[in-house]
Amino acid sequence: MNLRVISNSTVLFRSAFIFFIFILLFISSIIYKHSLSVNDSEARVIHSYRVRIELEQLLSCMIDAETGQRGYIITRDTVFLQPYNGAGRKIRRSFNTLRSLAYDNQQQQLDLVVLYRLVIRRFESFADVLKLSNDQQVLTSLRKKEMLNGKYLMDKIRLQIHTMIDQELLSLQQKEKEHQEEISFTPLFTLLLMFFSLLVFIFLYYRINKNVAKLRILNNHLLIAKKEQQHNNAIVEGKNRELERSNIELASFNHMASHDLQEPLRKIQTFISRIQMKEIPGISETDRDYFSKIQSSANRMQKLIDDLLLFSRANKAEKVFELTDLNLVFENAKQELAQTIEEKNAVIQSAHLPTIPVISFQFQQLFINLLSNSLKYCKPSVAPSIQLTCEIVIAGNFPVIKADIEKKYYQLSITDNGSGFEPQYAENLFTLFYRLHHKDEYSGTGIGLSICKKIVENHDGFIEAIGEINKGATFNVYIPVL
Amino acid sequence: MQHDPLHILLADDDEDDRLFFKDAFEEIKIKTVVHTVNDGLQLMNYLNMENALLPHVLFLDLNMPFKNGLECLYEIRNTEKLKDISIVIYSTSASEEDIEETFVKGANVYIKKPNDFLTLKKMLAHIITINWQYDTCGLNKENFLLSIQSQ
Repeated sequence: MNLRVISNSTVLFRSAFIFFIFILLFISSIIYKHSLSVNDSEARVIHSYRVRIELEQLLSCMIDAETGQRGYIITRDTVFLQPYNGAGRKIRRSFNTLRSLAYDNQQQQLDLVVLYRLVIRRFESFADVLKLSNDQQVLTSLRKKEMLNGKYLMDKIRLQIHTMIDQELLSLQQKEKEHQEEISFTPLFTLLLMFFSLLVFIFLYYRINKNVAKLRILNNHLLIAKKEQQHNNAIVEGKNRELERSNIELASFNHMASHDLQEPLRKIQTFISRIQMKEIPGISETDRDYFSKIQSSANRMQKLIDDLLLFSRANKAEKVFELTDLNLVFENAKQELAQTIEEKNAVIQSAHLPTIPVISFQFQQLFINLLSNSLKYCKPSVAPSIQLTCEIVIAGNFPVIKADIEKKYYQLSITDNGSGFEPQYAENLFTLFYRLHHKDEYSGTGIGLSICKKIVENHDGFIEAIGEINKGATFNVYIPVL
Repeated sequence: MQHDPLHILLADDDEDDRLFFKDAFEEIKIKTVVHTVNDGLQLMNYLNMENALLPHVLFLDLNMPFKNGLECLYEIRNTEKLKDISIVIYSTSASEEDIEETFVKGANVYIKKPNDFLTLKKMLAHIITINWQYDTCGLNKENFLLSIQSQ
């Protein structure tokens, strides 16, 4: 669960990183725009300043020309005409400059045209006044009228120029105001953005720290787990060695049982068989009886050793699972018991069995033991009838299966019509050396069903016995469906 | 071959078993000459003699002092002049490992020493009436362990 939190955080950090990149891009674009607008405003101020200077120069030039002309008219000295003569060129230059300055301002262009016309008319008026002054015959009243007209024009020019200057100032002020608003808004916004980023940063730092702490704890846990595992591995290794040793011991026990224990027994049996074969004189009927008792005891001992060997073989560590056709295995088991089956006139029916991975010889042993069990505990007067059925069942329906309730199992059932057993002993049947009958009633060592249980457990399966006295018994074997 | 007695050799360290063996052959009505040796070492010494009369059938116990049956089997099958002797393993145990191993090493038949004298006689009689020439051609794991129902 901790790991999931950390992986969620990874998504968080990734998105935070992308978010920061965008914030940085945004802030730098704002700063760039800001500096551009500062440049703009500077250029605008300079522009407007130049326009104003130029207009004022134009006006002063006009005033100079007027003053010069007036001086000439009064004194008739041509020295006074100097500013008037130079004015045309200066004014043209001023107009050129103004036109180029007003290239992006239509209103100003129109105003300039108006101003130009006024200036042209003023110069025409200058020229008329000058002509009238040179001509002595002309009446001073006419000149006066012309000069009044000149003054009137001059006033208009002055007014026009002042209006233009005012307008220029006004527009500058307006733009400066906008600019001011813009640049005063930008720092605030940037600051807020920075502040927000800082908050996110602090949050992320906190999260990272927390994650690092968590990781450290997890790492510690892992280290501990690793150490524990190493420790456990050492224990398991030790246990394995022990197991190996005990397996070797078991093998040597097997060897001893199969060889050394059987040898004296076999000789007892053989000697007795020789005595019984020969008609030795002087042996009484009682002695003969004793000999047959010795023989049956020896035979029983033999059977015990054989069964114990089978049991220990069922215990064996090496388990080779092979895909096996259980029908064949069952046939083989029947073959092994053919003699008994024939003797008892037993009827054995079997359903079609699956082909599954099993330890083949163990499964054969399982069938042999179950069949011989059913054959052995038959009712004296009734021919044994044994049914083997097989179906797939769900674990949940059978309490004996200790597994997931969903898991599927093969249920192999061997049902007989024999003497059955008291239901309360059902559990004990599989205990080693446990018997429900006296030796003289039924032969048996009490090992057969223990072997069955062992074999079924080797296949990760379960076995149960269901029975009722005199009504037969059913042995159910459950093997997992793979 | 029919008129010549069949030469039989038993290597077994157990005195009683040697006795049973000889008695059984005496009771079987087939012309045989039975020799016995007491352990693996004696057996190999006997077989390796210059002028040894090699047996037609050798019965070999597995559990013997000095040299056990498996070692003898291996040596015999790897000695040029001995390798064609028919070998019957004659042992108390019938464990899977022993059967498997002796079969792989080239024994012809495996007998588990029976528990009664009658069965012993039946088994031995069966063994010596086998047509060896035919039987050794196709070694067969299924028939390797000789089983005769007692009584």
